[in-house]
Amino acid sequence: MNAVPAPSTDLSALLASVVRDEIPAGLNSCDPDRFTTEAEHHGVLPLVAEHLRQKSGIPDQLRTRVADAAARGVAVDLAREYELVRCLEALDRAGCAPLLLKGAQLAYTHYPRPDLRPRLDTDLLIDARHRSEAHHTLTSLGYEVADSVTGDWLMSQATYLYRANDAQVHAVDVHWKIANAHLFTDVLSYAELAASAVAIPALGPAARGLSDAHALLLACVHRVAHHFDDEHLIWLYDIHLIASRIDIGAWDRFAELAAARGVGAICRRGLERAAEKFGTRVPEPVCDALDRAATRPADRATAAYLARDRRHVDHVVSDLRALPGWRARAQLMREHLFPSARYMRDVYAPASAAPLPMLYAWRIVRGARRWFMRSPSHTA
Amino acid sequence: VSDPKRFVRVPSAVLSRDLQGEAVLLQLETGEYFGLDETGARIWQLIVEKGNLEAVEAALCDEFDVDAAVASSDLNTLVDELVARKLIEIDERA
Repeated sequence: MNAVPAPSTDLSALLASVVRDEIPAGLNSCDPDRFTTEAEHHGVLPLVAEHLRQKSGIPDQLRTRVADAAARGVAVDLAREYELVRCLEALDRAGCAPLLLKGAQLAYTHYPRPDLRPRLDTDLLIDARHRSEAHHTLTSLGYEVADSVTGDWLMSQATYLYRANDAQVHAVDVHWKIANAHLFTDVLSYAELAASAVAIPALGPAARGLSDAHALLLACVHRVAHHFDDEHLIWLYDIHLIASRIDIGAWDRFAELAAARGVGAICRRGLERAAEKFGTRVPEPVCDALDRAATRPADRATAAYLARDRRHVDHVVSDLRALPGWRARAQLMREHLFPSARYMRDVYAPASAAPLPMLYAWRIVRGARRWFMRSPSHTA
Repeated sequence: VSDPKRFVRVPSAVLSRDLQGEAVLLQLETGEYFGLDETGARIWQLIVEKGNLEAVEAALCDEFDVDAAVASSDLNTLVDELVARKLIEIDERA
């Protein structure tokens, strides 16, 4: 999911209280369309529908509007699940041993039903050495590579799309690092995640996901490294659910990892936000450990991602600083500024014969403005 | 001899999910989905379990305390709709 407009704070609070199983007074005066749109925006529509379904005194129009949208989500999820099992089995046969990440995992390990955790795509992590096998496997299943910028330093993931009946059924993001932002790429490695991975029986014998400590760390890191401390409720609810069932040993491992990998402040922020919205309880020693970690120099660079005035260019500069040497930095800038000719044609001029240099110039001019804009998610 | 129309099966292209009493069905080939309320979901569950509509009808009479004529009428209405949407098939071999 990419940058999205800032949500309405009032409705966000209303939605959070419904997910907390409260029935706020403001619900009766809500515009059903606006409420549903906002619930979708925050990724909590199915959760809200489930809570409203079980309550009395909810305006019929609101309940029906939300329930209809949620039913569509169930159908989408059924089709996605069928495809996901097909992918996992094929990737496993090819020796890729993928790990399910983020919403794709949590939907099956932490939510009562997978459709209660909406997601646009399925995130899988593989060992970087298996990229080629994963590519051949997915394309042989009928998946196509999505249009995207590429580059060894720019992207540590590739998106594959499966379509049927003229509709996109499944999008798979195959990652070989946990994040694209270079400060975060090696916070957790495939090898260590695979070593403590857990089975996900609902998706068959080939399905594995992260342990609770790793899943919590990734949930905290992802919403900052990729979404810049965005207040989307579903990412905070993910954190809440993992934190709600994690045992004390896993809390300790989580806090140790956060300190050792320089993401103490980021993890603290995620837990704080989850507590504000959903009443997440975090053991005091864990809070203390994260607070201590946040004061260390190793945390300074990652904590900068929490600043409310970050611009895209700040992220690029951060990436450049994190890279090992000028050759890599120059390559990253080339990858930013000059994507492949195929990408430029597909995205910028699919039906035009405009010369490539003109398209590159247009991309740079247009992109320059975006690079210096403040992140929209920080206006809320 | 059994009436073949009294036996049905769920095609492999049909997926379903129980939503705590209610249910959603999806036909993968047509891309259509179909929501069932609590009664419909229970009938669906019985169809999947038994495949034999006579047995489903008997179970409905027991569970919902209705007479056979009402159960048969409700069941036939739902079965016709499910067949029309390719969510179940008449089992000709039965």
